[in-house]
Amino acid sequence: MNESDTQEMFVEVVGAAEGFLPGQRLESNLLWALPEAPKLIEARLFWRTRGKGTEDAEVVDSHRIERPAAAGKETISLRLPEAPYSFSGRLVSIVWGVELIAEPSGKSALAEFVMGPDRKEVVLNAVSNAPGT
Amino acid sequence: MLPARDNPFAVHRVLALRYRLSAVEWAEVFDCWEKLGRRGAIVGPHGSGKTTLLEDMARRLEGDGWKVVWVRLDEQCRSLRAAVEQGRAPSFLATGGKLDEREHEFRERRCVVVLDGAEQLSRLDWWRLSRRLRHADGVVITAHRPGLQPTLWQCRTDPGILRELCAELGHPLEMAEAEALWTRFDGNVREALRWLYDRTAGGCVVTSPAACSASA
Repeated sequence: MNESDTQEMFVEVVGAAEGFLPGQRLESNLLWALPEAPKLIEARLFWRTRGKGTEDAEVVDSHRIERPAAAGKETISLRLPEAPYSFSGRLVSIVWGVELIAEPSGKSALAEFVMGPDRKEVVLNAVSNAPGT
Repeated sequence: MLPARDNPFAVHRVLALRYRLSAVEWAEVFDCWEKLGRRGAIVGPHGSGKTTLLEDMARRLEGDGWKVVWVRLDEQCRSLRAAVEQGRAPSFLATGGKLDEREHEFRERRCVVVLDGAEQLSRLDWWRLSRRLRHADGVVITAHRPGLQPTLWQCRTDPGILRELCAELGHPLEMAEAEALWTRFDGNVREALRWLYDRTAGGCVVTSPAACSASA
């Protein structure tokens, strides 16, 4: 899934549709076309929680482009850690993504993907009400 | 099962909701704040949107060039000292030190202190903070009841607001259901939205198997 709060920033994770294995390297295409040259462009590989509780997040890898031009494109490589896996339950999901952000404007774009064993997210199903469980 | 990330009432979606004030009402809020000497309180019961309104006001103040200094208190963080230790308040508001040092922080730029959860402070802590806040160009607090600062805005909720918020989250409610939920939670919209999270998630959302068996 790709999101952007502006038409001026775009990030794509190559092969996102297939998912990724823990520890795998991923390639990401970055594209920006801003009205002014930013001080910094940064791509951040992160996971975050989604659901009922307070959000938690961690940036595990990043790539900085110092004093970039107002418009540009770049393909970068980032390495995934072994954990946490993409995960979904009723109360919380863990979602992986790459965020592209320009400073100081804060304009950003985001691409999400799945990381886990067999390139699939771990799904936690309902607690069984069967007797003895 | 609806994954947590797709639940329309997930926290990140609820936190993205903004307080509903028209442009005219915003102008009234800031006009009132100026007339009150840039001092004021947003008051209202639990879950009525005080923090949301305070955040929206702070964002507008920053856009106008103000330096916004945040203090965030709640039931788990009820003193200035604890707030400083947890990074919820700047140290210069809680510690001693020369008066001119504190003044410097406030004079660096037009400075407004926004304090969420003022009712958590003890009388002594509030008195100490009030003395330091004299040097701030502006103060806005939230509190459950009026009295600590002149009332700037009274937050209220009604079933219609709950219904509007649910519609914005992509999960519309019938008016009768909104009225029932609003009544059940005594107007606490935050708790109503949390209940809707659980219902939308489907099945038994539990934190322990025993709780699930008890509610089955």
